[in-house]
Amino acid sequence: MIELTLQFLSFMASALLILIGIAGMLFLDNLIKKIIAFTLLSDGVNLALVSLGYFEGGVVAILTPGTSVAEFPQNAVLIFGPGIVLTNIVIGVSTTAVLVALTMVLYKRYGTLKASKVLKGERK
Amino acid sequence: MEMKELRGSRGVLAAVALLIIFIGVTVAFVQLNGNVARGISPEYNRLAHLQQPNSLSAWVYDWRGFDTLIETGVIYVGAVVSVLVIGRGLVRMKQVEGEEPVPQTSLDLKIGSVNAILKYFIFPLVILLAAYGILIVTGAATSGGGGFQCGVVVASAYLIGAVFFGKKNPLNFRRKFLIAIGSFGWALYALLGLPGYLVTGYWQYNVGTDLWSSIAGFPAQIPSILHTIFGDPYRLALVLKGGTFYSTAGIVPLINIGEAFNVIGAICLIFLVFIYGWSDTEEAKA
Amino acid sequence: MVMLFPMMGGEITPIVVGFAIGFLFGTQVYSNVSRRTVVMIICLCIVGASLFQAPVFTWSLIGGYITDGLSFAAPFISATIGILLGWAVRGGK
Repeated sequence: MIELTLQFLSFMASALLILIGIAGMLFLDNLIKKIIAFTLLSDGVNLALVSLGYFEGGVVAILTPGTSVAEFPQNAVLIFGPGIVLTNIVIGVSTTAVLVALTMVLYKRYGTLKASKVLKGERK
Repeated sequence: MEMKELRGSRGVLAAVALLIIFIGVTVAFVQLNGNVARGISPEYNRLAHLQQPNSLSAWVYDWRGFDTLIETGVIYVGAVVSVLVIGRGLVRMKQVEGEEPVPQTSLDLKIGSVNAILKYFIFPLVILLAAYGILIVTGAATSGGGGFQCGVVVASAYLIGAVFFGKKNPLNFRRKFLIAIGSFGWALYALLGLPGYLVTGYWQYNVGTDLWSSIAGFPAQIPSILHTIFGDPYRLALVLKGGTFYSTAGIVPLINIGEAFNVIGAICLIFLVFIYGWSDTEEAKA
Repeated sequence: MVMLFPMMGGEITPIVVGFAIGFLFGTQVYSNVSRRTVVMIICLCIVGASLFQAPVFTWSLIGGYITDGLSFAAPFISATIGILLGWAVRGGK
């Protein structure tokens, strides 16, 4: 039987976010909605990465005055998740910017945001 | 794909495919739950009192410093690409040479409901947010901060100024300034690896902190002048339960500054091109 | 316990670096606000610096540490002054 820990629950939440993101990117017609679904997908991945480092009773991996040097490594959370999320957020920003810029150009050219009409290639 | 195409057998197939993806992701997470291998993280937490209190920053710029260097390049390239896509004045590709470029109309944001009091307080807010970003990057070694965070905070200050003041943005970053600090930050990050490479043969070896040179088999001894140049400016007294450690973060705060400059340049460039557009005539006028 | 010396390099360098970066950004500030607003910025900056507290592991007066619970984020103040100075020197209206 799976125990309902905080880590398990946040893993499930990130799986749901990933599913919603994939479904939105595949099945929604509006390009802006597709981009929103893409950011949801990337948020789901970020949530999964952050929850990797979590364990019960962990503390933030930053030393504060008076911390015990011997106990800190056992108590501190794992740092690889937040470390990767840090860069993932910034890369998400840049990819979203490129996507939005391309969408702007498509809108100016076709006069519509519907992917189905853009694919048919109707010029304005 | 339009919604009406999803009725019938196509819709069933799509639902089954999504279900398979969901089951796969969920099973992977269930197997991972509680069984995460700790990897290199505890080692960096164990070394935190000898290097810098914020072990996350040490991990990002020390253990995966190359990764972060390349990712820094990715965001800069993203900014440049969105500039090229929106304002296709700089580069004309051969296939599209005959076409008219995308018409340039800068989005002049007008917010009618902003009253005088709000506008009066926004200028101090912009200045203080920029100063807060600088505080974050200077305290990166000891607290939860760093280059990325500083860049995002300063970029948000720029965005607030653009939203409330339109073209008269108080934090009026020029395009040449943004491109200059973006590339300067990237160059600073990359070149800070040079001293470590010249002495030890490892690019981006942290010559200021110098954790590993006492270990047998390490290729070289670090000259004390490098300790003075790169180590002493960031030396702090860490008063902990195990004693007082006079440790230093070495080159990591400097790398953070380079990172911050790069992110400010890139994200502000993205905001600038989305809000004001990009055409060479306006730059010539200004 | 107020302690001016010995202070470490890590307490001075952030102040200097904050001033330098602030000056660089201050050269890009273009605004025509009154002198009262500038005074207000400085007051708000000191209030904000006392809210943010001194950086962790700062023990000297110059670093902003006075006692536990009362300390100032010195890099924040120096960055604000840097921005204002840069605006006065190279910025515009």
